[in-house]
Amino acid sequence: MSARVAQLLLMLFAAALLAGCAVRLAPDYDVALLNGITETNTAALKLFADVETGSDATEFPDYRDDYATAIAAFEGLRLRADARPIPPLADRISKMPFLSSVCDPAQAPAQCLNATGNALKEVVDVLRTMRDRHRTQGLSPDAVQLLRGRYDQEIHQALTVETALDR
Amino acid sequence: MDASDILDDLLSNLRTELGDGFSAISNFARVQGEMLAKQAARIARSRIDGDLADDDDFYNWLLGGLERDTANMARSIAVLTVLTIEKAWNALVNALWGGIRSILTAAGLPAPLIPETPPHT
Repeated sequence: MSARVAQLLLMLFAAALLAGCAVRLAPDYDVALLNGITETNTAALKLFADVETGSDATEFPDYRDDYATAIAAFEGLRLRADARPIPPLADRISKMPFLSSVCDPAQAPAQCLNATGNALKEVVDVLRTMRDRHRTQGLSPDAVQLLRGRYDQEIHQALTVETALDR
Repeated sequence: MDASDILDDLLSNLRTELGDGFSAISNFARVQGEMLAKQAARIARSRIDGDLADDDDFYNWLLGGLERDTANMARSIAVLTVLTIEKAWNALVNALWGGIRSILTAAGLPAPLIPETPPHT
């Protein structure tokens, strides 16, 4: 057998070994989800800007629709994120020891590799709390800052993860 | 293309993917860490002489929020880490596949018979 034929056979063997070796470990990129989060974030930031100097409970009716629109949009995006399929290999990865502290083995561990749904759940919680507080007692600048702190933390997580999934 | 070219490609791809991945994770963790620290400081200030001084419900909700924000930050870092592993692995496989493809086509195997990228699992 010539060296050339041997090399060819070796390459064919390596090609056969490699077949199926490229992997998918994280969820697919969803451009509609990222665009939706970006647009709704802009609307929510406008709402925060409108009330950052404080707003009485009597002014709540002026903002009722803004709250409803932002909460409904983020809820829709959360459902979309949660419904996204997780690659089968992610299930195995999520059970590895280095992820055991963040991926609870008792509750769908692979879901922890679909982090955006959790972040949007907290975003909705912040907006609901802000709406209820606005309606019942009004918002002071201090309360708005505290709420905005939590909002920024979670929306930054969602935007970073969704942008990174574009590979 | 020979084995050393394939190895060079392979290491170069791996270096790029791991470097970019580490940089992204490190930046994300730093920004999130700073946000958490600022939020904790805001809560502490407000508890002394702000809205939280006489509002235990809001205070407890914010403390619970800090805990959930931290857990979600860890989950986001897990996704970014797994994504880096995925990219590094696929960069290796792509470099190897590209080298093998070049050698096979140079040896006379018709190019259309060999896919340009390896299949995914």
